[in-house]
Amino acid sequence: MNIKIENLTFFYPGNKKPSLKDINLEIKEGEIVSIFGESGSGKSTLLRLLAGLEHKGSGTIDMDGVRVLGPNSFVQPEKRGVGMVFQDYALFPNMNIEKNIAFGLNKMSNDKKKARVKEMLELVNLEVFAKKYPHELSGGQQQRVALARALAPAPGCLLLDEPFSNLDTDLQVRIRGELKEILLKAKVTTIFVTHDRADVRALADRVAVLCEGIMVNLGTVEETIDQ
Amino acid sequence: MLKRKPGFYGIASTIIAILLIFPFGDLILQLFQKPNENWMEIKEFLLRDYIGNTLILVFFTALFSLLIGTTLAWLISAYDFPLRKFFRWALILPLAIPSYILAYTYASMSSYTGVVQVTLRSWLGTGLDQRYFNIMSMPGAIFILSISLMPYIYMILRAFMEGQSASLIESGRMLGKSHLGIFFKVVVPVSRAALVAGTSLVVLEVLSDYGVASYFGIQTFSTAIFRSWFSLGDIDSAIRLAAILMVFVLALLFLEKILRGRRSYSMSNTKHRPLSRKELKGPMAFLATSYAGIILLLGFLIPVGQLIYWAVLTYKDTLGNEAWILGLNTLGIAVISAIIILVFGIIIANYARLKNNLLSKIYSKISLLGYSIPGAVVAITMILFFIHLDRWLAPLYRIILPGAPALVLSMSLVLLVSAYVLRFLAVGFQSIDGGFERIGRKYHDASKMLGHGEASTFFRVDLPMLKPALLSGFSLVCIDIIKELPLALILRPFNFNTLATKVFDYANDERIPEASVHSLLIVLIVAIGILILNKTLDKEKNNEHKN
Repeated sequence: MNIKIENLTFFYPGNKKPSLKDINLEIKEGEIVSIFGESGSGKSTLLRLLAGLEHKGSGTIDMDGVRVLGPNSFVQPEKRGVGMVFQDYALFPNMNIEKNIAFGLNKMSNDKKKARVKEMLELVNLEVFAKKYPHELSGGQQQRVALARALAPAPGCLLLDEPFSNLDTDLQVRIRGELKEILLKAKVTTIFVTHDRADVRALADRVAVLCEGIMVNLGTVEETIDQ
Repeated sequence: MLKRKPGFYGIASTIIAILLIFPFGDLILQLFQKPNENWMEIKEFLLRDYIGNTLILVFFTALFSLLIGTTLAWLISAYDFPLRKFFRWALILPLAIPSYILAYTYASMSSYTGVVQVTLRSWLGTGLDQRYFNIMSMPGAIFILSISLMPYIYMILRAFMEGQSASLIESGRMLGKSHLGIFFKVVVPVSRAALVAGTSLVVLEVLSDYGVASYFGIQTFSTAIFRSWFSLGDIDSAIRLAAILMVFVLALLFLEKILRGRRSYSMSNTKHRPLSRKELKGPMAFLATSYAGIILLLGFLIPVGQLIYWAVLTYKDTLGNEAWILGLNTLGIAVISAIIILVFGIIIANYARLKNNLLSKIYSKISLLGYSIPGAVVAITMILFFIHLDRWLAPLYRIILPGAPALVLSMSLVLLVSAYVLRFLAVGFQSIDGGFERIGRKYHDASKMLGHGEASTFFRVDLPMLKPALLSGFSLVCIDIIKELPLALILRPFNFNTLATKVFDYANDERIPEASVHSLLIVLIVAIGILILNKTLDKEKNNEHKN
């Protein structure tokens, strides 16, 4: 999926200062882009606008040439073909792992659904946990389920909100490698938000650095955070 | 591609909010009419008594409920003593007995032919001097209402104290404070918001009470509204009294806001470790068990025991088909009203969760309004509104219901159900709102990101997770409706009775023993509801700890 963001500005209700100001960014199909910045820099807001979970921004967002956010247009999150892994995973506690992954496969026959769930479980190496419930898994396993669930409907773009912040340091190192491998296999445009330089170095092709809602730098890892 | 459009929840919430405040328009308009002679008389000779009596009843009931509720909550949360586990849930049981039933029972028990006087006469050869021990008096009403409403404060405070981190109490101990010192210097200030919330609930219930005050012959605002309306046929004065009562309620809500303060003592930054209870031994353990035991005896065991005794004597005459029909009427109307309340509550609470803007906040406040408005005021408001509605719909009735009486909706159950919805929406809404708050937005957002629309997300994701909140909301609303008296009394259609109105009728005819079977049915249904509620809340708390 190709994504184009132009002059995007966003205010939270009641705030006089914008959370995002005049953001311009183009992302090509298959690219892995990191939105990097301190807390409060507006990086999660940008991700939520891309997802369609916020819709009061001015400026435009186009996805594969379709205007999903603009002065007179808004495409609902469920119609954008975008997958998202939430910071705390948001796995439905009342559904087992298999059902969580199948949740986004709406228009498939049951056989196809089963096959796709199996494929996703294999991708994240969790086949044996299919019948377990989220609270029975470790943090790393929950993160992989969230990833499998987001990838199952084959989204054009994957959004990850602080994907490693809930994991122990040792686990973070291991999961970063696994995630890179999975993303390369899935060949999906990926945008992830982080405040950790190690995440950026391990995963990103390009980095957009945000500071107080303004994009202050954009380029490769070497051109931006390593400088 | 979709344009931004107002969603289902926005439109539906707006309609519900309008339906909730529209009826009050009539009440306010009536206030601007010229007052009649009757009102001048009430104002000159009676109003001072109504205000004085209402204030005395409210102040002392709040004081005693607060004393009993707080000490019991602290005892159960901080100490171990014989039967503590049993008392932990049993002390909620006085809520199962509506205060008017408690009043009839105690009044009858302490009368000349009642069990107390008869026993004293036969054992000691002397009775109690009615000049000093007349329960049908202001102190009697304060005793009945305090013992009956105390569980509100006990429940709210117990939940708050059990959720407190032990570190606060332990630092108090390390700094050399005694248990009593910790209670007054640490526990009470920290629990201020919970104390104020519980006390406000008690005060609102006292302002709304009709059954106790009317049976004991105490002139309060609620009884005066009824008297003006029914005995004197003076709806104008009833409306003016209702308006003054509302000024009291608004002043109370304002006071509550000030007392709660802006400080919130949250424990978010410390690892939560529940309070470890201190074991009481010897005389202290005996005192603790006795104190909890006496309150349970007075608030539940003695009155229920007396009701059972009377029921054994009278069941042959009173436990016929009629009792079961009344039971079904009561349950039926409670369940129908509770379902409507839950649907409205879900719509407004979900709108507030998803939008979180000024409009959604206003709608939430409107849905909380009804619980602060005493039953008598709700009754007047709704009857005025429905009479106007019937007049407005008259041409339609002539077409679809030729030969029907002029008042169709005002003479039907629609009026009573609407009044229940207005009065008790707050109870259902608060449970659902709390449920949504616990779930948060993340699962909703995740479902939307996985291609599910609003309806599918609600039924597949939100609803299953909301089940405990819905169950507690449903039980709470049903409990309140089954116990409710003034609305049922005024707004019931001709020949429609509930258990509560039947008990009132019996009591009015001075046939208290005959009211026992119906009273016990109410107590039984409500006690089951309370126990389900208690289990649901405990289960929810355990799940939270597990997660």
